[in-house]
Amino acid sequence: MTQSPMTVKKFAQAVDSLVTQAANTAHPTFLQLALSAGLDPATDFREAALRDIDLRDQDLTGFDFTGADLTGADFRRAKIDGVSFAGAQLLGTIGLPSVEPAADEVGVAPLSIWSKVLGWLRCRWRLIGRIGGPTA
Amino acid sequence: MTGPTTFRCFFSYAHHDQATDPVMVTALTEELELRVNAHLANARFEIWKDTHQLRTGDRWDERIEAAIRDSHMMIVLLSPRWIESDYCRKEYAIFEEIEKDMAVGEYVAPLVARGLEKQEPHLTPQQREVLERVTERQYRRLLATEFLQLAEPQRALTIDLIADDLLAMIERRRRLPSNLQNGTLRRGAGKAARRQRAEFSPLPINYEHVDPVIALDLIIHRERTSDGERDNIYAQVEFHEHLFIETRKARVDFSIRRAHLTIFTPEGESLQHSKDFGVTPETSVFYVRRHDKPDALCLAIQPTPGREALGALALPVAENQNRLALVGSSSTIQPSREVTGELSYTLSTTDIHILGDGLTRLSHQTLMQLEYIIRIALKKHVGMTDRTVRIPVTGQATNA
Repeated sequence: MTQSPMTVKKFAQAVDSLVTQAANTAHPTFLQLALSAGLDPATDFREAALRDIDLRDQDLTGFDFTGADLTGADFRRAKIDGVSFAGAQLLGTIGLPSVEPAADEVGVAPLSIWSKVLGWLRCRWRLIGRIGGPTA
Repeated sequence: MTGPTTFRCFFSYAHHDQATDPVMVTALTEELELRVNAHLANARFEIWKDTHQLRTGDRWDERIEAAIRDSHMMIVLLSPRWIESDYCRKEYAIFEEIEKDMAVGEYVAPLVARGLEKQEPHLTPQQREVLERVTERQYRRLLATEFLQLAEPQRALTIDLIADDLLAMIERRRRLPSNLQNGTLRRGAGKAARRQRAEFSPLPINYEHVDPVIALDLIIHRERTSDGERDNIYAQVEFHEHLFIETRKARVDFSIRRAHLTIFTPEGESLQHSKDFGVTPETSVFYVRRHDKPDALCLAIQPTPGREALGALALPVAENQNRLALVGSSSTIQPSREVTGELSYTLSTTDIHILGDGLTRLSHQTLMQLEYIIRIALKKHVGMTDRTVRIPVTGQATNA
């Protein structure tokens, strides 16, 4: 059984459009490249493998990196307002504000402000446990 | 109170390039060091350069090796003389070993000081292999002839761009939890992983013209044992190892890096595992559990260690068989029923070739982004594919 010609054609069109965009633009942005390949920044970058990607100086507004592997990625000077990093692998990333994983959550981004609150509560709970609770 | 952490960088260069363009080498060591340090608080950056001609003569000086092993990063001033030098290639090879143990990121900054294209046909296989490994990285083209013509502000800007690359490496090292700074994580499917070549690498096949699955076999063999009858379930999966799609402007090579084979009966009869496969030089297969089919046999199949893709005989061949794997068994499945095997697999990009030279002016940052976007587009448009095979149970019992 060979492949659906439509599937291959769609992919070929996406690649050609992407290469054309890159060749004809002086400094193509990550958003321009993604859109030219027919990708939706709001959905197609979830769970994406983007290890070591260099996104310096990019405007990433509208991207959703939920669950993506961004290990070692460089976000310095990138515009990341409203960008979701929930559940993303962020070990070794640079340029993101306050990604300082706890020892037991190495590399996993906080889900939201609520996870920060939960983390704070958990720390408090451990502290209380140490001070007041019996130790095994 | 502890003092600032010092990050050391080994500067790998050919003495001949220093003699030819001393101004450039000074800019890329002393000036670069100053510019990186200007961005750092509570950290210092030092570039170590062999200024004592330790790399001359026949004897490898242990001081060089000690300096490399003491370094956090390396600058390679790539030129025909660098690639020719046994010392320089050895320096690079030593640092590559150290870098392999680092948890995340790349810590070599190659700067192409002189074009190598015209010399490539004259390189030895060893030199060509090192050149390939260096240029697989994110490098900067910094031709000496162009660099030396730059006016002062442009030169400062150029050095600042290199400084920014080095600052990324320093920042990554500083942010990594200390327990992950050395050798605790295996590198993923990055460039280092790509460097591992398969022992046998057949020519890629056009995906448009073939089915990536060469064979999906599922056989039920009823056997009579001393305890009664038993159905043994044998399976095998074979894939084309290297595939490609060619468009008008690019060629994308890819392979199958992961597959799942689920075997079940429509009535949900319980199927037992044959044994644990695990990871050995011959196999990388695991039983996993599917929540929607808890009684099914589900196998996660990955390439064996050292290989990049699934290929022929993806499942480990059972003893006394020449191609089938014994994947499970069942106390007799009712005749007239059938066993279903569902195979799903994921395509992963291995190489992307842009045809023509329209993109040569693009920065490595953009080329890297392009590569990732093509990978995501492959997943989106071609993506995960499924195959199903159904085998009716009609086997006659034979003595085991």
